[in-house]
Amino acid sequence: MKQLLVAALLLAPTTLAGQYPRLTGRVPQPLVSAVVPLLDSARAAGLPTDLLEAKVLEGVTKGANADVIANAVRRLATDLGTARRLLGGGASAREIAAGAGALRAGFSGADLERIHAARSARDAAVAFEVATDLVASTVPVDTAARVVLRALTSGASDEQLAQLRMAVERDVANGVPAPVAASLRATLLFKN
Amino acid sequence: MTELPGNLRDIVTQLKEPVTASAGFRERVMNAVRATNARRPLAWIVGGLLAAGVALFLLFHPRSDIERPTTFLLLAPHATTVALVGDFNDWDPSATPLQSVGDSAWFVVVSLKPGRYRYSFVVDGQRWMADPTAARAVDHDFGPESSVVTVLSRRT
Amino acid sequence: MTPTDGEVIGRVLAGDVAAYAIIVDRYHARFARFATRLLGSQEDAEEALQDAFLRAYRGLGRYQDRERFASWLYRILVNRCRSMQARFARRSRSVPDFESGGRVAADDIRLAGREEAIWLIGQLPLEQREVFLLRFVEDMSYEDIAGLTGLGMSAIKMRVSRGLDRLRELLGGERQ
Repeated sequence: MKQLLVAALLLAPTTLAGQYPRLTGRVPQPLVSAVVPLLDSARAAGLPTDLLEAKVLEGVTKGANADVIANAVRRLATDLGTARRLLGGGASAREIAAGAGALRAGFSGADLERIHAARSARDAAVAFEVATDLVASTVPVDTAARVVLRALTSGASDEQLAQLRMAVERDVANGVPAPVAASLRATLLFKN
Repeated sequence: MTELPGNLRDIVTQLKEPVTASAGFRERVMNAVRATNARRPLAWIVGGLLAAGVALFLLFHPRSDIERPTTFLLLAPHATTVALVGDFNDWDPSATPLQSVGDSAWFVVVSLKPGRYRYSFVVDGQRWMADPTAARAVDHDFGPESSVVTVLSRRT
Repeated sequence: MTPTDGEVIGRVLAGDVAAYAIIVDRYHARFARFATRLLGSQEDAEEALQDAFLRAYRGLGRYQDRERFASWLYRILVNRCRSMQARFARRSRSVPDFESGGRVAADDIRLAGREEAIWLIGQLPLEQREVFLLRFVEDMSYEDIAGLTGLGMSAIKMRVSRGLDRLRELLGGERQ
């Protein structure tokens, strides 16, 4: 009996992480115990777990401690859940992930809903991603939301959104103030 | 030219600068012409088979899933090794080493499915560097910043 | 005596493949600058030209009106440029060459040289860029443009005028 118990304890990490082969062999036992329940509940809620697994692995490679990693995973899981709720059951995994990224960048739930609605029947993932990247290029959140919505209402394709992002990044690198670059590029690209 | 406003005249002057053929242009075209002559029947057969293959491939593989070669480049003059880590390789520093070209450039080409990936470079096994040419990720939960690459599908 | 296009094509079809080099030289001289400005890069323009020469060669036997070769080749070339441009637009991590010269200031676009000029006309839709280049850079008359492109005169004038409006707007209003 005692032997069985020891065997069960030794096997625990493998069994726990067994559902997530990417984590096997990479993640130490205390961290496995901390994050696997989070991954399980995300999965049970129908959320995409690959980003959560990637988050764990990023933390491990960057040498963060188990608590910090578990908190980061919990936060991402919460954002994913919020994005899924806002975007509805029909949202693709990439759309949910992109929506979570936009929430993290500072966009409100209402911003997400507006962008999603402006995309109408099509996948809004790239729109969320471009909005997030604009914020990363120091464009203020409200300007970024306005610029992306303007592009979407003039029927911009994903390629055109990506073009907008690249142009703004280049302008900012050339010293143009980010809000000016975003507004001006949107005007030039989406006038017609 | 009277219909051209003054400030556009300078632009037109710039655009009028002549363009001369690059060396060997005519030979390249004529070689291609001769080759098309010689290979015509074979070209039809090979072309037909290829087209059928591509059509079958596309039929069974939705376009959005086709991987696209994506190049990662870093200038790191004094580095001994550079590795790429990211969502696409489980952040594994041994998975995707960069190759060095010339004195200071490092590069690697990775096939990525359409999507969005966070990544970073690890220089000499210990120094973290975000990609200076790419957008930064907004979530840096673990200290060193990461970058973001977006791979678009061919048709959206 | 310079042979006409029709004479050269006759020789090529009779088996003198080398005579096609006359066509290549003649039309490179005529279309190279146009294609380079249309695509924003000489390298891409030569790829489009080479492709157009090759396609025209393959179609020589089917083409009846040999003296209208210029117009036919031109249309193949513009189609090649159009599809190349579509190809560039699809690349997610690279931008067309004419984009790289773009420097935008807060209230103006300053024009310093050829790069900027190329960037500026790169902002026009291809249809407008095409006729703008033929009219002002190649100095062709509206009649000649109509002959080459197969477009009606009013369509051409409309495109030229829209292109000019757009450029004026990009240059910041009516300043001279």
